[in-house]
Amino acid sequence: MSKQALSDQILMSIDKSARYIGNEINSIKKNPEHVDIRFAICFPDVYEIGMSHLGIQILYDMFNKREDVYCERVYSPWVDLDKILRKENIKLFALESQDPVIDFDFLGITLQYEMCYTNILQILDLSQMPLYAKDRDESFPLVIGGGPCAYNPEPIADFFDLFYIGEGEVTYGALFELYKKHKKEGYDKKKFLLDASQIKGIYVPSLYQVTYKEDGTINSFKPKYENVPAIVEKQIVTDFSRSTYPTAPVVPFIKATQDRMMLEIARGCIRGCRFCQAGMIYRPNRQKDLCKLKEDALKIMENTGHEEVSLSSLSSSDYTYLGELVNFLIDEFKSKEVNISLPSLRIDNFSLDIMSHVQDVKKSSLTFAPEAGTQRLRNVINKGLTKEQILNGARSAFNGGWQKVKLYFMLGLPTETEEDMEGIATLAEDISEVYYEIPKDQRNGKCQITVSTSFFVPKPFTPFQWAPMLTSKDYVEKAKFVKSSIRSQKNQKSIKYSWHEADVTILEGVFARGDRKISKVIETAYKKGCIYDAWTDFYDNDKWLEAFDECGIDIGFYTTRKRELDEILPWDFIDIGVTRKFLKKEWENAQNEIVTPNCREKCSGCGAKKYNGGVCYENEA
Amino acid sequence: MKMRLKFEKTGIVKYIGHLDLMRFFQKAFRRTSIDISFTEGFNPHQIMSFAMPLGVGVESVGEYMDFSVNSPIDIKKSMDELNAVMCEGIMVTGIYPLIDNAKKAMSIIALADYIIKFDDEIIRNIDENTWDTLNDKFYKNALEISILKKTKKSEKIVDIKPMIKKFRAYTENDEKLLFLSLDTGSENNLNPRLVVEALYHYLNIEYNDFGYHIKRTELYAKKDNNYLTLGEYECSATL
Repeated sequence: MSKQALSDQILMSIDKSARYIGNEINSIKKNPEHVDIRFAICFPDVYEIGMSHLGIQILYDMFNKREDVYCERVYSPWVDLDKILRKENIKLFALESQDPVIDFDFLGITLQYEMCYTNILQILDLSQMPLYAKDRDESFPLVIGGGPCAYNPEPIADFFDLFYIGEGEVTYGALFELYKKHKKEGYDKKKFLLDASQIKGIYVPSLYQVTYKEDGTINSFKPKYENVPAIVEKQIVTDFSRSTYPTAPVVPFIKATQDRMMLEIARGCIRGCRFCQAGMIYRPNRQKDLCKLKEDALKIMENTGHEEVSLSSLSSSDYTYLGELVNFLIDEFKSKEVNISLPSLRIDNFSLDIMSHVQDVKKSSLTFAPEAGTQRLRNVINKGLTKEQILNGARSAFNGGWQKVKLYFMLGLPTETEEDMEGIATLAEDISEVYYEIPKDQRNGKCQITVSTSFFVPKPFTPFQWAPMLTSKDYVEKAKFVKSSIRSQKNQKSIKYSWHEADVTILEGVFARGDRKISKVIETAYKKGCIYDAWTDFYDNDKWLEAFDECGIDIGFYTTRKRELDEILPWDFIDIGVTRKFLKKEWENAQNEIVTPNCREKCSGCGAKKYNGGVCYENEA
Repeated sequence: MKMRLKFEKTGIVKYIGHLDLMRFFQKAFRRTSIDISFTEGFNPHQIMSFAMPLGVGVESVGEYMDFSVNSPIDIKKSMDELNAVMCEGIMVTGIYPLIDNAKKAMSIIALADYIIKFDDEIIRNIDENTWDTLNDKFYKNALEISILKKTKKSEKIVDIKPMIKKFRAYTENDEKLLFLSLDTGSENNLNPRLVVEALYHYLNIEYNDFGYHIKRTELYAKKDNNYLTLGEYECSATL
């Protein structure tokens, strides 16, 4: 039997022990003695969430294809095991070898959402490593962060040795070669980090000095040494179709949140919604070659045996060959009873026709994301979706037999008025009226419209990065307003309403646009017991408020404060291709309610063309 | 065509629960060319049923699962194909074609064999002769073996002796072991843990739930007055 880090007694006394045993289909076993670099790749949340993440599967596969690297997975132990590891003084281990993380060369942590920040400290702590990078000498693994939250790494910068800015496929090779060279020549962490900062896309926070003005805003953000680059450039895959992709991803024993094979059909988005960070940082939009997708789909099916295939992209409908791809999948997979799921589709006749082939119409619901209640506000956020399109989509859907509709909105968007909030209720009402246009004998009971609102959090590298937030109390008021508006509609019985927590939104807002001063708040909250903040059951707002208070940090500085356009923002040292000039222009367009066309309609000169690929060159090809 | 598959689940995979094991086999079948049958309806699933769910933490070398195929299969080739896509600890050890009207494994199961191995130092330190006398004193000569059986609804004292068809306490390579044949299935069902618990009580030692390992070794159905392994029962001679 393979070596196990946990005793039978522990494995028998915890929930879902299969989270911790490794050995899954397609997991990689290597002899640690035969590699130069041991890399622990970590998703700082529970196994079922982490195993659903495509990015880790891509990097795991890519790293392990190298003979000199052994990459293993690490996830946050659930709270039951967390307690046991602390009590019994057991070091956190990687799944494959069950060896302690502390013995690895690298600990790579993916940063997918801000609310996982205390879990990062849990990972470091349970590994028995000092939380702060400055306290870790050569004997500890180098801790490197990547993923969307790395586009503003500052709130957690002090915990990390390095950050990788951009898509992981590009420069890890260079980093590994450099590390091997240093290991051979006698490894000195400081010297290594200095050299690593020369690799494009690598940010070493300890090599930069931040000074602040009296009002708390940044005065200067500069490299401490002459040859350290002042600007870190985002790395992206140019030839997306030929880029590495796992055709034998790990198949978990226990049911992961996303228990299906994923085909990444495109990266980036042509739409340019002004609130959306993914829409900016993954620019330019790149599509994967149809033939490559077909080949991969067959291989992944053969290697995993998954019973469902899902397409991954920011907007499936914008994939040029969607119809051909879906028809191929139906032909190949439907006969083998493999389900096909099509997320992020625009609802129109084309997509409804496709969906009627792959879904049980009566049971499934259709999702619209108007994001805002009125056309005016939808223009502000550049969500190019009109009321007419929504109602037509709903009409076609109802005629096609669907009767469940989900609607997603955001509250607290810049320039929002009461009319916009009321628009959420009236749009839901209008959709229900479209349903009741169908003669009574032809419809299937009531329609079910579910309205969900989340509170808008301004993110770095979006046109809304300068937008002030509101207070928790204001957000709750807004949700109440929408609720009463919905309750006063004629068909209100057909409409359900739910909204997200306001307190978590505030915290997310602080982390999203926070600076280096925030790290001690995160540490303080963690030491008070905050962990799994993304889980409503564990989120403890009082402890967070205490932590801010004890650290003397004013939440309002990060949330409700109005940022000036010339203020140095904590993430300004990163170059994502999309220029600050473009973001400013878009921020102005938002105030003026001017819609910007999508990348296929017209190039708006955002700056991402410099990457020499993707949609920017589609018409030239 | 109805088929019965025999498999082992040993080592670390004993921590995979029953539902997850089912999903594991569903995916495994999809990785082979075996033409498994599906149920009808909008969300068809593979026709597959397990004889007797194995508790988390229990190993087995005698598990059975029924499935159906649309066309005849080559037994050896199918076993090889399946074993090529298994993980460490799960191995297919037999595939048995069944007669057309064969009943489901779960409905015919009557008896299960277990081997219990003790880690518990107190048990391990019992001398060999004393351990051997348990065969008579604890089992053969006992009028009844009573134990407090707790269910969600009630607690009651039951005599489990009639459900213990065979009991053997023995020592091998310095290990204290029990061999048990216990009533299993819908009519009478005895969890081996209850037997071990009763033994602890008899020995006047504080019960330790983590002090032993359970391995199931075989499952049987009853035919007339004989027990046949599930691989033999209603197995079609042809093919």
